[in-house]
Amino acid sequence: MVFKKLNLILISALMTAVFAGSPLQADDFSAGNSGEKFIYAQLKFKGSWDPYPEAHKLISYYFTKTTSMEMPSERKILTLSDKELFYFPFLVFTGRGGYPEFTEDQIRNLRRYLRGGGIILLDTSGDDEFGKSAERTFRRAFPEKEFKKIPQYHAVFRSFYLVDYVSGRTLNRPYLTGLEIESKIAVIRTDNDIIGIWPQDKTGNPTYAYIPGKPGQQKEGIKLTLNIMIYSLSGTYKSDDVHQPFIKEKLRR
Amino acid sequence: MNFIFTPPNLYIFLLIPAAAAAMILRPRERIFSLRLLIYFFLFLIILSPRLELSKPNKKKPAVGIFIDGSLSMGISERTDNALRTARQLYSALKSEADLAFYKFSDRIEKIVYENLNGFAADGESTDLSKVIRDTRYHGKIIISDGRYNEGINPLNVNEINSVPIYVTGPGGGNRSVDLGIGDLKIPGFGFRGEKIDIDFKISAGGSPKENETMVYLKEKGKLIDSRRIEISGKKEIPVNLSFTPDKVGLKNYNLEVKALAEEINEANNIRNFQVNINRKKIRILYVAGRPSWEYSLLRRLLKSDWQIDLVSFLILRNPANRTIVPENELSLIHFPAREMFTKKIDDFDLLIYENFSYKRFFPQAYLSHIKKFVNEGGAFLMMGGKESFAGGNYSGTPLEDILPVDIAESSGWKTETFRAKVKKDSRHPVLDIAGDPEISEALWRDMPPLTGYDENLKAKDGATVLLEGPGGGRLFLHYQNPGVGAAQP
Repeated sequence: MVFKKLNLILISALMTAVFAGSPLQADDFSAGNSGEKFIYAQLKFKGSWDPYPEAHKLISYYFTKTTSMEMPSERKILTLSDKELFYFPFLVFTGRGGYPEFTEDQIRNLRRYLRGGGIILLDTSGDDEFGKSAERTFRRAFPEKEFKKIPQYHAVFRSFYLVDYVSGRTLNRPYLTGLEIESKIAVIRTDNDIIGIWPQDKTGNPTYAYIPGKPGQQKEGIKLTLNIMIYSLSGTYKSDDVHQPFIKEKLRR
Repeated sequence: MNFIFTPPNLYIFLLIPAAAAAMILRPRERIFSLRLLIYFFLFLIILSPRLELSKPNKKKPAVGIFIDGSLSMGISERTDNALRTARQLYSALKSEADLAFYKFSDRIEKIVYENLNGFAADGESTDLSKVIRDTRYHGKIIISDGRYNEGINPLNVNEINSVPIYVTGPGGGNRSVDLGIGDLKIPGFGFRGEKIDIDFKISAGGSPKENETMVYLKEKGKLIDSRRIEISGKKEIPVNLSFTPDKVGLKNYNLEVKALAEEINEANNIRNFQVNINRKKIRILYVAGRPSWEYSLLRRLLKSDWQIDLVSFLILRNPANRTIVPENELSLIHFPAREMFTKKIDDFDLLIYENFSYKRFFPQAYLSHIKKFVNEGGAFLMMGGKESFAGGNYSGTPLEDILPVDIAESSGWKTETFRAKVKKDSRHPVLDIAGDPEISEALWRDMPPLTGYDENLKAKDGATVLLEGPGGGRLFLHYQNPGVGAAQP
């Protein structure tokens, strides 16, 4: 019985490997490759979808320099109608102001994307209009679901760095909320303009002022951004028992 | 005695009356007679008749007399009585049967009747079933005290043969003291960490002076349970012992009843048995060289199955990576490679390496433990990526021995979008993802494309190629069974 079960696991493992091995097409980036590189994909829609067009470059630099993964400095821009959407399991969804509603086909694709393992970082930046539009979008896709507060002990706060507090360019809300789909938090929402923390001018100073300028606000924002990206690749890895004594010890100090 | 008339003899014999007749007959009658004679000779020459005279065969039946020569026959006058019986049988049957004498214990050996005086009961055990199965004779006579302690119960010998068997006991003296283990009830399998009960009965023969003795349960000589039992006045004592196995696999155990001082036969005080110990859950050790979608999705799948215990290690940072914060703000832990690959590996059923190069973390010697693990029944899955196979420095290592591919010295990693195809006529269960070969084949055809492969990987002789990569010649998935376990790239 054990070996029969083992065979099933092997089948599942192989199957998963095959599915997972194809999140992007190599042709999209000269050096792009699913298993080897992390691709920063961003959602484009009818509205103000790109408040920080250069942010991903610095994110790419930090991500590549500090983790075992590599992230190309080019990003992938996608719409909910693109067939390629399903090859890019991590998607940044940010913007300013309200936007026209997505079509039924696009909502269907969004639903399929999240159920199939995709993860979305939703950064409303504290913009009420954008926030309301986004809420409406997710309510249409998952009417039975609602955003819930992500507890501070969740793996997203420990996936690489130990995050002190939920930071961003602004500190509108001191916690993250999430939409749980297929037993995992598939949409992570922040209202703190976390992407806005990244743009820098030529001298290395932040392009946009941090509000209120709390000590460590930039560092914690960087840590949380990278943690969310690592979480998308590692899931609840840091919740495993083997890590708990070490994490507790570090948090105690 | 047989008389055979061969044709030439018969012709001479017949010529004599023919010649006599020719002398007394008239010429015309002679010519007629000669013609008859010629026809008669022609008849004989053509048909060559033979006359054979013989007596019916009165061969005597072969009878084997088997005398128990085990130690228990040395008690009291058993051997003398058995030999007396044998001699009486010889006297009574020698004119009616071809008799052959044998001594048996754990083996059967022929003895000469004239040497019966030198017969010694010195065999270490008794296997009566071997004697019963012997079919060389028309009949068998067994002289034995019936104490078998090797082979199966003679009453349970399944072979049906028509050879009549007569059994006689040696008699002699009072019943002797002997303890024996019987009616052993053991489960064929058990689970690690769960109690296993062993039930059996101890038969107590004779009138022992001791009132009690000990029963031991051992594994590889190590005591794992014991019980003190009362034997005074009892002919049969039911006993229960139990143990909780902590390791998986086919395990050998033995039960032992401490022999009494006057015990005549200690061989039946021991019984050996096996129990196959399984895990209740399948344990998987999954090591990934870097965070990846493969890891993320596979981890979710494995974690969602309650029958699977997953322990995983994900390399989040390499020595070359910088850090922007103090060490105590990182959630990272040290990868316990030594502990995992030298001590704990046998706790797992499946080991997965995904895009993982060992060189930065542990010496090559640890890979021998993985090879041993697979050869002893563990399963190993190596998932490709730049850091697997040659890219992970596995060429010429013990892992190459268990993998179904030859690993080139250098990686031939190629970034290219392709779809894996099921190799023609491949029917391995791993490929049957839908439970129906035709539907499965269609599902494989519709799989999303893959984006990279190592073009230097070649299937070993004897490996089964299940899926093929670009150009039909590139290898994607192979399977082989190097030992009991399986290894797959």
